[in-house]
Amino acid sequence: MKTWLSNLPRDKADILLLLLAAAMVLAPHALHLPLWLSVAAAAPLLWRAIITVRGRRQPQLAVLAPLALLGIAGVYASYGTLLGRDAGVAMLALLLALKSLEMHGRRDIFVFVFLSFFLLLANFFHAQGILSAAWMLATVIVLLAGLLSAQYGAVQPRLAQRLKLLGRMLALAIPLSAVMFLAVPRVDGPLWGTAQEGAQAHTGLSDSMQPGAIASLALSSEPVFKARFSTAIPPQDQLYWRGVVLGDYDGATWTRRGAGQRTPVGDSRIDIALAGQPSHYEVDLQASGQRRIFALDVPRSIERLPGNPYVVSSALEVLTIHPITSTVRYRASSQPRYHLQTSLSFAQQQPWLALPVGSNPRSVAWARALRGHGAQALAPADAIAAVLEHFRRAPFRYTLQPPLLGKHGVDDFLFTTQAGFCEHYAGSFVVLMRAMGIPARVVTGYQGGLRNAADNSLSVRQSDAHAWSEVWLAGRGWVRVDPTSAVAPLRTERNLDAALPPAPSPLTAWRALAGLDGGAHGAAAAWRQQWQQAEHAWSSWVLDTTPQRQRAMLDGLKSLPATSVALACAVLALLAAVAGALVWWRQVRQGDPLDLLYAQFCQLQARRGYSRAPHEGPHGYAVRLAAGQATQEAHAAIAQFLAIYAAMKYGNANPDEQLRARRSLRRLLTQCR
Amino acid sequence: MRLHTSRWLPARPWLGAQRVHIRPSRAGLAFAALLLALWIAAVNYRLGLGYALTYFAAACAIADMLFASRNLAGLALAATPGKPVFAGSQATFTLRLINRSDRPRHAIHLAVHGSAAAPSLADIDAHGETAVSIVLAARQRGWLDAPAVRLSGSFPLGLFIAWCHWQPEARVLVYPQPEHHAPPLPLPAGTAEQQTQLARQPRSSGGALELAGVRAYQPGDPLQRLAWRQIARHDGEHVFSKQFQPAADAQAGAAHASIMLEHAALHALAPEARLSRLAAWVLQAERTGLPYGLRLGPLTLAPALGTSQRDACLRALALHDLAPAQATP
Repeated sequence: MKTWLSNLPRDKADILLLLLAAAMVLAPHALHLPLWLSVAAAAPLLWRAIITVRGRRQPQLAVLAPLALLGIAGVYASYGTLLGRDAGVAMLALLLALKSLEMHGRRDIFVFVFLSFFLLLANFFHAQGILSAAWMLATVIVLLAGLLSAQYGAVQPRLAQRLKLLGRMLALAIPLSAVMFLAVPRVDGPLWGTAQEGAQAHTGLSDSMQPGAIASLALSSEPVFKARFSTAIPPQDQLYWRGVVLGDYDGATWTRRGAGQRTPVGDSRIDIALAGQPSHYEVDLQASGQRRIFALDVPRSIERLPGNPYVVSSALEVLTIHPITSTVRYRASSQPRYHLQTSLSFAQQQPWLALPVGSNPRSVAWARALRGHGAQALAPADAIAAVLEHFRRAPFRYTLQPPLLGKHGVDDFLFTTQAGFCEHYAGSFVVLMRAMGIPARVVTGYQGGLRNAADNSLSVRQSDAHAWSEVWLAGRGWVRVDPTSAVAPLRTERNLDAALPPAPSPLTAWRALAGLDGGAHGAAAAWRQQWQQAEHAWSSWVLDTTPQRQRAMLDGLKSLPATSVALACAVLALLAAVAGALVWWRQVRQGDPLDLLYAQFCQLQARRGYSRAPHEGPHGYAVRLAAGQATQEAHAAIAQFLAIYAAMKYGNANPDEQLRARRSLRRLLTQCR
Repeated sequence: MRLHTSRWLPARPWLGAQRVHIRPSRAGLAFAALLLALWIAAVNYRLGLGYALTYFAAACAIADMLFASRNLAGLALAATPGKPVFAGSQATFTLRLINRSDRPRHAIHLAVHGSAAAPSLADIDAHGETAVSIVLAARQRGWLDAPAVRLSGSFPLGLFIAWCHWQPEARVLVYPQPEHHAPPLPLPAGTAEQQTQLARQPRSSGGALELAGVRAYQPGDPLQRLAWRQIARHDGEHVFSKQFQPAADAQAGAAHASIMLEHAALHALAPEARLSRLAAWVLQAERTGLPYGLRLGPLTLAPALGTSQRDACLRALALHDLAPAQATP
């Protein structure tokens, strides 16, 4: 096989290399394209490979044109359109495959390679993991090797040498692209329209919550709103942006209370007392297509949106009449301390105590046992503290990739997997509370936000989505309890990245992946976990394309100690100086050695008082020197030197003779003084 | 046009990086459009890896730019003097592209300025050299300078074209075109018999010598006899030596055993036609083996035979009455 490949004529080998690259480009698309299209794209590549190896002619345009039309018709039949992202990718894949049958000159090769680049990017619509990146790198290398091979003249070195040249180019290109990736200012897309079809298309809080709902938002860096404060920004752990209050539970999913029936909530008076330092702020809310606007817990006043009035539910959700389809701005103020619905009748408490019958029996039993009965029963506040203490003590993990849960999700979570994201903690906490007879509900919204000191603002992104709980205590009303902060205090104190298992820096992620952190025990499980950590770091360092993330990365550089920055600069400067000197030295050396010898000779004679006039050729110079003062031997040496020099300079000597001549010139040079 | 370019083109023997120009090729411009499209897709769909791919492709293009320039930079160039030709034929220049670096150079196009001919393609091994011949029609006598050439290449990825201009330091001497069907040599009466006689007679080296003229320097000529004045007047590179003959029979021997081609005797012809005829006669005399000399204005070449005599005569004819700028290097 190897000898067969190396004996292949050059043009055939070049084509096969390009076909390999195209196959590598198209392979990941096969996972997403309809089966017929994958086959239809693979067939022309295979056909071209056979044509190439057998040395046949490429098919005529009369054959290709109907095939292309057939393909377009097929795409239309499959997608119902020829426009749009997916249909476009399908068309490009077909085009690339058919182009392989119509490659004649260098121009066609460029078209082929450029098409491949575009399809390579289209692959990222579906997957942007570490493996996708590795596959992309391998594909680009094969693609460039194909392009490079086509650029050689009459002589084409072996593949290994071509790859070596390519390696040298990549050694330059890879650091350069890393610098560009870090330093080129990002644009917060999309440039036009809304890229609804993007990978994280229209994420956002919904009116229900099931395990995994919020975790799926956590990887999205899509901005939700920006709040500019005219007063001081409250501490991070008080930044709870209230969204949806979920009270109904069916054993798996939390939904808004009475989501089914429309209840007039606008006119009902809300029993609330506010206290504490008010915060005033202005919110720029992105279009969400939903009817929700956000305010800090708890809002005192919210400016009306022109043409889109809002109502406030008794649970303090703020709902607009029409969906928000464009960016809106409103002023609001909030106060941190409040008493909400301090007096609830027994009937009013019931909806917040309901649990589906027979679901999560173990949790319910555990909760009842914890609270106790009769006189020994714990006070509600103590019961809450006991449950939070349990979360803190037991080995609960806060993770974006929790294991799947079974039918009794809360049971599985509390007693088996003990790994989950905020919705797991909030949901199971409310279940435990209700089992103890304490009214409780789940609240979803956003927590925290990225502070921008320049304009005293907070940027809140989908990754700040959060779920917490509220319990009702007699005399105090609804009180916020965030069980997540018991497990991962950093989530509320700082942000999501800080709370997740340690792997936010690519370096530590790599160390974890490579097993440098002593992860020898429990090989497979440890690897899986390390891989998850690496993927998390990957998603926050590479996939997050927002300008904010870029600024955070650069700020990270800025916060390095001054000494190490100075050291790095010094090392870089030294390297640059060495590189510059090397280039200069090589340029100097690159001159003709014969000219260098002649220059030395002229210098020598100039020191004796016979400098060469600019117009003087070696013959004229020889004549003048012969007439000058010198010893007999010096005269002979000078004459011989110039004769040899002229013969070498203007004659037609082969390299071997030149080498010998240079040797004698060097010897004569010592005798010329 | 050619003369014009040769004035401003540098004639340094090797290409410094600053002499290599670079610009994107058509494929490179298309690649720039591709990069823009990739970037827009990355922004619009918020693809982190899309950014990575775009920047990686851009960095590869930048690396290509550098490598394309390095493919030419540092190349040493030399021109081998071509053999003299007669006007009306083709002059050949051999240009040597010398690579003194460790990296091979590939796919270098060498095109002659103002020529429609397809450029020749050269590859040069590491520490190797490649000779490229270019052919030029020699229209008129005198020095024919090598034309300026353009070296270019889009290796390695074809996205950028690097190029430079080079004026090779080489020229070819173009002899006057020998007249077709020239009249026979103007032999003085009785020369034919004496010619053979002379051939047998050994040349005497003793006795008084007198200057008979100069001729092209031949190995073995004593240094004292170098004709400095003629060398200096000529071009300083071609060396002449004085030719002496025994004084006693100089007149008789020379007159009878050889022929003197007189430029002045052909005053009936047009100036170029005179030179053409003399060139034809030089060749004719050389063919018949009759020693010949040439008297051309102030220059007198003593009668002799052999290729060096032939070349000296033709050279004198080629450069006769030319403007000093063309007659001297």
